[in-house]
Amino acid sequence: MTMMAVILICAAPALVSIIDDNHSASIETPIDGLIPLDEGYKVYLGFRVSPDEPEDKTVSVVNEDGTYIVAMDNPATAPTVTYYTFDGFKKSALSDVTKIVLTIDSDKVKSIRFIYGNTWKTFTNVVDANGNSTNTWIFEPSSVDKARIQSDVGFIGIRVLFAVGDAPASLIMEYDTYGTTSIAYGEIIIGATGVLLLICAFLATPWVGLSGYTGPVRKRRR
Amino acid sequence: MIDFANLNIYSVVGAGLTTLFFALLLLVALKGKNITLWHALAIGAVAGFSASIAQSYTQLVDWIILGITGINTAAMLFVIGMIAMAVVMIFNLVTTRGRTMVR
Repeated sequence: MTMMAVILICAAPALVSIIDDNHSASIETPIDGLIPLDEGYKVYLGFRVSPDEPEDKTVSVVNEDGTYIVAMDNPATAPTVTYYTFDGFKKSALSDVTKIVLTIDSDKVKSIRFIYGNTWKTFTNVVDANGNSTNTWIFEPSSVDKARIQSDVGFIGIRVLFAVGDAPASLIMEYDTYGTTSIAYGEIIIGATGVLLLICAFLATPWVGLSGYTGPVRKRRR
Repeated sequence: MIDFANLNIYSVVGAGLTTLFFALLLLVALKGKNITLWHALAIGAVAGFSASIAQSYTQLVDWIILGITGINTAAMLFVIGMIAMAVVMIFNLVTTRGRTMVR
């Protein structure tokens, strides 16, 4: 019973991780018709905390078939900017996504975060054959991420971070998503494992078994 | 890897539950032996290390967090099963005075 519990507890999430890795690596099909950002999306800037935070923090955004061109309305504020945030993803649009690829026209990007609820995951920078970093960044959501995105409510977005003084006054971000329609295998495996664990726990009690009650017996005093 | 930037009460509970479970499994291996304070410390350290490895490779704590926050039904079932197993093991341990944890 103990071995069964160990196998179930460790093997089920491990199996989901392995399937995740193989599943996302094998899919190179761009999702047609997927609108990456909702109609009501918005882009805003983050500033370092300082008393001289600019009053004009607005940006102008143009979307050309998944390429977002963002320009600060007041370029003089660029040296104080620390991040660009793209807010407004559709939950439903992300359910079948296995990979998000961003190409940004700046080599000063410090990191990129995919944010959902109060959690964030980091995009991985793609390196070329010589090991040099490129302007392409990849995020492959795991089954845990997908389950959380579909269940949780709140903010879903991308944040492009820069060191203070490195942020450009305008940013071009090309956005591609890859994926396919798939069953929620992660949730099925984890849920079925939970049921099996409950059965294991039931069978591990002293009242259940082929030989009847196996717990301690109180001796009667004469 | 445990994400310290996103550390909150749920991740602490998730890591604690995983560590408790691994500690109980280690106790099964030490059945019948007298457990001293040093044994308990060693078991806690090994269990915590095992939980950390399990999180790195399988995202086990993330699934538990999904379950205890109640935002995913499958993960909730997983956590309920895990807690049930741990409760039965502790119950057996107490009623048999350390002789048996699982049957």
